Amino acid sequence: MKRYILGRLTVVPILLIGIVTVAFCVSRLIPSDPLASIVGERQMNNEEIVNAAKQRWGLDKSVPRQYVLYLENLVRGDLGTSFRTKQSVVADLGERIPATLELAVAAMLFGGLGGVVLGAVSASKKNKPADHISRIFSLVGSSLPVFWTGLALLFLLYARLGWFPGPGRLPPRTRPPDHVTGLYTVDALLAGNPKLALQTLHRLLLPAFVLGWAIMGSVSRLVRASMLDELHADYVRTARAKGLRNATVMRVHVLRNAMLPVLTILGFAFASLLTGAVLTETIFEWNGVGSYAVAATRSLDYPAINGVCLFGGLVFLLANLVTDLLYALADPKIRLS
Amino acid sequence: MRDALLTLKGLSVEFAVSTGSVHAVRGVDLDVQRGEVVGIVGESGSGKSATMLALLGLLAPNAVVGGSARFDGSEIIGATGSHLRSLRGGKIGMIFQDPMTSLNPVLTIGHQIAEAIEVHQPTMRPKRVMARVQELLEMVSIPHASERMRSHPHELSGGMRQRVMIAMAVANEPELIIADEPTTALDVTIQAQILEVLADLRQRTNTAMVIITHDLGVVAGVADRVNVMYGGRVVERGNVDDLFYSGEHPYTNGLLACLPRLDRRGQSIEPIGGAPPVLDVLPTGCSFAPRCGAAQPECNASDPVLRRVGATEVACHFAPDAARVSRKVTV
Amino acid sequence: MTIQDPHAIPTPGADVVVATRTPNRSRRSSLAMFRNPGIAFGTAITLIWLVIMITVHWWAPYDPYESVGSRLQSPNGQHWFGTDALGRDVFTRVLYGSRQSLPIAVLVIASALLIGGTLGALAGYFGKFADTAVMRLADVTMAFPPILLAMAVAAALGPGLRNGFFAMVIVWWPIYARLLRAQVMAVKQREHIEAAVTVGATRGRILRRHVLPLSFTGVMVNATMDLGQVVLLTASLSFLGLGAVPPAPEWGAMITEGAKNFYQWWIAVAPGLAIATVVLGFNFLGDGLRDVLDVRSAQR
Repeated sequence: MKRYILGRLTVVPILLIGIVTVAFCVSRLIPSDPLASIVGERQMNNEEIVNAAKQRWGLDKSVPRQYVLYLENLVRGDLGTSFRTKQSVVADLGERIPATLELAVAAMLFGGLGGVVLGAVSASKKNKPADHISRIFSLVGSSLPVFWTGLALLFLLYARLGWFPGPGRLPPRTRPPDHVTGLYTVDALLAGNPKLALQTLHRLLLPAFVLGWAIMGSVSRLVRASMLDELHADYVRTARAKGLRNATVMRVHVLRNAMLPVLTILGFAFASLLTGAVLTETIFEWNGVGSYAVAATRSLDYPAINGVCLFGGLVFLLANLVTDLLYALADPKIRLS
Repeated sequence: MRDALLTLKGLSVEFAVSTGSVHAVRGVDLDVQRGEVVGIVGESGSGKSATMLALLGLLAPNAVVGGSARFDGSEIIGATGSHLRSLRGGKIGMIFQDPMTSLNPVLTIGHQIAEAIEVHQPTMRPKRVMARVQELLEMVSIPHASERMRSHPHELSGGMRQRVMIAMAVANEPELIIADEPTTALDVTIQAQILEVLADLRQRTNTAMVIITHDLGVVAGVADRVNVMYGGRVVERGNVDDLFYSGEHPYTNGLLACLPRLDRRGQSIEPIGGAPPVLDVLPTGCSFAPRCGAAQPECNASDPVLRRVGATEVACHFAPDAARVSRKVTV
Repeated sequence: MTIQDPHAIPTPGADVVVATRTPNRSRRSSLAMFRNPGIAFGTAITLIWLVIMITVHWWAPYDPYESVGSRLQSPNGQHWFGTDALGRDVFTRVLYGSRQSLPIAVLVIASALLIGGTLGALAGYFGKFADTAVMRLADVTMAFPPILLAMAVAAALGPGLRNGFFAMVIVWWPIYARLLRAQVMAVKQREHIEAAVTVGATRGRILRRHVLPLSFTGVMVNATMDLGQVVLLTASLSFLGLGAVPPAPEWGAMITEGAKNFYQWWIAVAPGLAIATVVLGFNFLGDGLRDVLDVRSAQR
């Protein structure tokens, strides 16, 4: 097991350098001029202001020099200052990550759990109505554009029926609970305000469902395929020969084995939720990393774009590592070697 | 004569496939007395395993089972799911061929044996269950049983895994154990050990056993009676000694000729020529005829039925003459 | 003990189906494919959209760019899906939207396949340094979430579908690089390739004659499903203002207009349904193809 983990860890630095470099390249090879977005179109003719801005943001140096500077700052934990918010990117991200995390965890509960359950139902009732319904449900989920589903649900359930609150993490004119974790639902509970906790939870449901539904398809498809594969295994026959109920065989024996490949996709799904919430956050006015990324790209704020890309890459790396670890824990062949 | 523990009458199994159906078992009559060991011998595809899996409803969903099987006085073909479940692992224990793939790789062996006990004795306390698991592992001679319970299948050798399978099968003191190729996947020395475990078990518990194998040598040591199957039918049956010394069916003799024997050292082992039949089209005559050295035109015309010839019952038009021919001519 | 009995339990069901599948993948079985409901449904939807795309200018009721009535009409007999904020017919614009999304989806996948597939195949075939270089680059690219990468690239290059196209090719090439590399590695192990090498076939010939045909099914299933994903990503980029620029009748951009006129729900409904049906069609088709061709999706 130690060797397995060490093997996985050695890839990390290589990927890390690659991610940093690609993030830098993407943001520096921009043909359009970011200065315009810093100083404003009208000031572009004012050489003094332009030069001052260039110097201030380090744009007067050569690209390789900028790269070295960038790496140096990175090591110190400095991602630069956002052109747009004039705050440090690290601070900006720090404010927004909890919002995205809260959304991603909730979406994971919908999509991940829902996907496993749907996939398991599909596999147990192969080619029966329950199978078709759950396959269609998850296929539709991964075919709908999330921003459209979000709009449609908001229109129906908020504007027309009033069953759900509108967009935003908090009810209007409400102060956020004292910052502990940054997850409003948790913080509200910690602050002893169950009413606010419920309100924030209620606001979390729609975006989490929209986002979760989108990943449900890939999860349930894999669970189904993987379980059907396992169904032919000899140990399934052994389990049935013991007199176990079909449902028990499915749950204890088949699902346990089928989950090994599923773990990988769950890890990636979570990573993609953390970073792919861009569209959902835009629709639901969720003040997280995704909407920050949208604002950054619109204003060509490349320290911020860079920061978000780096964050995305890191999340992916981390998810990769965690899944590998989980895999090792779940598979006795690796755990005990 | 006492009531037999298990009686099969005209048992048949068909598999529905895209091109029609495959007749894997075609009317098998067979009985097993209490405490008796019965061997079923035949090549791959002879229907021997399908016969026994059909009993427990463990065949693939595309299988259609016909005929009758009475176990302990009640019919089990077409029995309800809960009745079948109470038999499986309860009154009938099953041992499968390949202990590598037949055990669940992600669960400990203790868990897997305990599960077999819990499902049939749900009121037993967990502590008691674990004690019983250890007792079972000791019974099949697994050293350090209390530690081994926490092992996963891949940590054990093939022989050890097969012992675990046996422990699992006998966990609820079944009246019948069905062992499907219990030694096939194992090395020769391990095979002998496993057969010893089975023989020992039988002596201790007096459980009836059905041993399914392609290896007459396995049956010789443990079985009381033997059924030879070919093409989905029983072609010869009788007491183990009678069958070995005066088997009448050409196929039986072919199988015997395949065995390496100490008393015939120097003679070559003779394989049976040809391949077993594919049973998607029912043959009109004897299904062994195409490979039989003593075949006559009549063999292709009608299917022989079991009849007593000498010491055994045999399904061959020309027994006992055919046997004499086949002993001389290479089958 | 000469009688071989590797599988004591005959389960003809599974075996026979597999056996009949491989040898005669001829005309008969390619027609039989359409008995799979997923394939039939997916093909039908895809064909309908293709016909719309090709013929829409002959029969569309209105001009997609012109104001043809009063603004923000709800659906009625003249305008089945209403009119938008500029008085344009939503139905017509949605039909014309297929001319934006479908060609770009095909182009993106074809380019990604050409670039990524070639790189991957070469990496798999030559191994060593080429393999390390290509696959690390693919790993790094895939470490970025697709939407973020596409957004960053599209933002850098400036709005417009042409730049969106470049952004999406960058997102998709590693997938095909991995796929083809895995296929090449697998095929390289097989005996008949070794035989071809000993006979003296050139590397290029081996890649062309042996590797490509065998990779075909895997690529086809993935590409079909990815077509849908490209349609989604194109719409997403346009929705964020990074893809198609107004007044182009692009589905994602139309949904943005719908979001601006939140209570005029009809503006966003039709383009949303258009995206959903196209993507669903590709997904059904890909899913069905995977079932029929029995491709493992392990490469992803």
